[in-house]
Amino acid sequence: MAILALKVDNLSIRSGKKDLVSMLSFSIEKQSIYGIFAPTGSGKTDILKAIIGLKKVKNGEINLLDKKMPDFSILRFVGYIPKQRKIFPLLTIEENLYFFGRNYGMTKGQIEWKSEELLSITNLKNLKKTKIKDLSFDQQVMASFICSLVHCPSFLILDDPLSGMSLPLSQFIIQQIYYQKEQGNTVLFTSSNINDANICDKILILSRGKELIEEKPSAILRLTNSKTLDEAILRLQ
Amino acid sequence: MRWYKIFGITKRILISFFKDPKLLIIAILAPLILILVFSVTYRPEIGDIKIAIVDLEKSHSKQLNIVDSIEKLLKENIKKVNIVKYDSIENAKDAFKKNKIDSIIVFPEKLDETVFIKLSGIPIEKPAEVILYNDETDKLKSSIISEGLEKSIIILSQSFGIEPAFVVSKGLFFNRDISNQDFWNSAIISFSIFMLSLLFSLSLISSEKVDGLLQSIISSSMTSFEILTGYFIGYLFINFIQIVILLSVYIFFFKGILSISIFLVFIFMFLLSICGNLLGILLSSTYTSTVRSFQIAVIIMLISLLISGIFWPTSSLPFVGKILSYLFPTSFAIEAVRGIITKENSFLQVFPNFLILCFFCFLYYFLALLFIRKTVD
Repeated sequence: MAILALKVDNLSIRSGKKDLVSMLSFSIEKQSIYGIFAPTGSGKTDILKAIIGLKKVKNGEINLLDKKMPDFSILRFVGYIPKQRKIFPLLTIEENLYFFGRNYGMTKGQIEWKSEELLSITNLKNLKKTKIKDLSFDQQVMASFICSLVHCPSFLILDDPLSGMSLPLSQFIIQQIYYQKEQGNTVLFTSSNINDANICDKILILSRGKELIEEKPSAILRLTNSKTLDEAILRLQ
Repeated sequence: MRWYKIFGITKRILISFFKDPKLLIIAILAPLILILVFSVTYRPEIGDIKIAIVDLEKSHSKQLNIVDSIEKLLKENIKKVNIVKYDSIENAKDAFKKNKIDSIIVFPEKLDETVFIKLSGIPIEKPAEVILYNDETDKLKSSIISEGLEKSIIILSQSFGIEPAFVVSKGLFFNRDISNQDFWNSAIISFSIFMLSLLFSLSLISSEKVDGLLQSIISSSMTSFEILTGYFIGYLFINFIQIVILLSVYIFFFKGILSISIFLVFIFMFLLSICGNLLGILLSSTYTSTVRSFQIAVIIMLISLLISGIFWPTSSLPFVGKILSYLFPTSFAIEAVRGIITKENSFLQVFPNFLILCFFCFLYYFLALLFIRKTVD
């Protein structure tokens, strides 16, 4: 039996008088890439926030890395990259890495060691003493990305990471997602573009806050007798 | 000029306004709150005037009972006056420090004798000197008391058919002259630090919230306590610098006090800055909309500006105004700072205010702790 990194049971989230998500259940195996796909504004961000305990849930249970949420101590092992995440513009890359590393309780030596590795893979080593505001947009996104990885999270949560990104940036992020899986970590990401599902081991497609299907992309194509996932969604609806 | 474009904007604003129930509530409540606060703080007439009389005449041979006559005339010439007799200047000054009285009139020894000599037609060497210790920080009250006393002396002298045989000279309560300027400055430096700390923490944390920086911190494994305390201490450093600037300007530009009590003033300003600081974080956490939190902050500042004793002492406010003033930490800080500056109050005398301000600090800290993670919900 596969070891689960996340288990969500009957999750319902309400915003004002509107039910954003109702009775949603899914689970994510360790060392896998999992994608949640739904149109913009259908509660994907709220699901992610609920998972890490930042959003109150109407009902349901969430178990993240064997801990019942909300439990902020488990966030030590979680990397959360919100949509359009920014880091402190007046600090240098090095200072930002140090700040986020310390937030997760790392020692100076551990931060330096991990920063070296992250700066090398992003080619930002020469710019580590440059303020974020003086970097290009792509460099800022990369710097922001590595700040979320500095504490070596075993569960990475990315909110719509590929939306509005240039081709080189998208490739960089996809590469990092694969790299995280290779390292034995779990990745959960959301997207409104079903074409991003190609990189996932398993996907969950939502429609109006409810589960449409949860399966491997190839299985969805087979089950719906479709050639593309777009076509599969149309058939499922 | 195309009117349909102009009306398009107008229509959009009105639709947004009527579709936002929170904005509607603020728009309706704000004028109501303001008019109510103005009505309970507006002071059309002066309240009770409390005068202490100290008679230094120790002998019992008072031929003319001048002091009793003046007391009677003061009651006739000053509205709502309340006269209390003290046996020494020290006791009277102590009562002044405790806000029990507004001024002291000291009648010298041999006053009756001097007036009697003048009445007998014998030239007097120099007139007797009545000393008036007036609280010059309250211009309105002090002028009413001065005028009332002068008038009483003239009436009494006229009743004897002589020129006044005694003069009124001004006495100083403490080592230095306290003026109406000190009444204002003590309140202004206190309110300024409250306003600055509130706006600074609110604007800084709101900008981090808008940029998603706060979310990055909150989604880390840090506890609410660590996050709040980290922000709070950072802002306190900024407030510390602001207090030093405010006090320096007060001392060197406005010629304020430069003694050990300045440290006491600093403590109260620091406590008030903690309150402002935490209130800013609390407002920013409570309201998901930055605009809304600023609207509430402006309302809080406006009410505390009217009700905290900046323009007139809280003790002179009507009953409802007094109750309202207890809800704001500024009232207690201004009262304490004013007491230290204008009445040279000691730490023990302002200790209750110190405790109340500490309570406000803990209350705001506790509430901010509860709401800090709500910021990103």
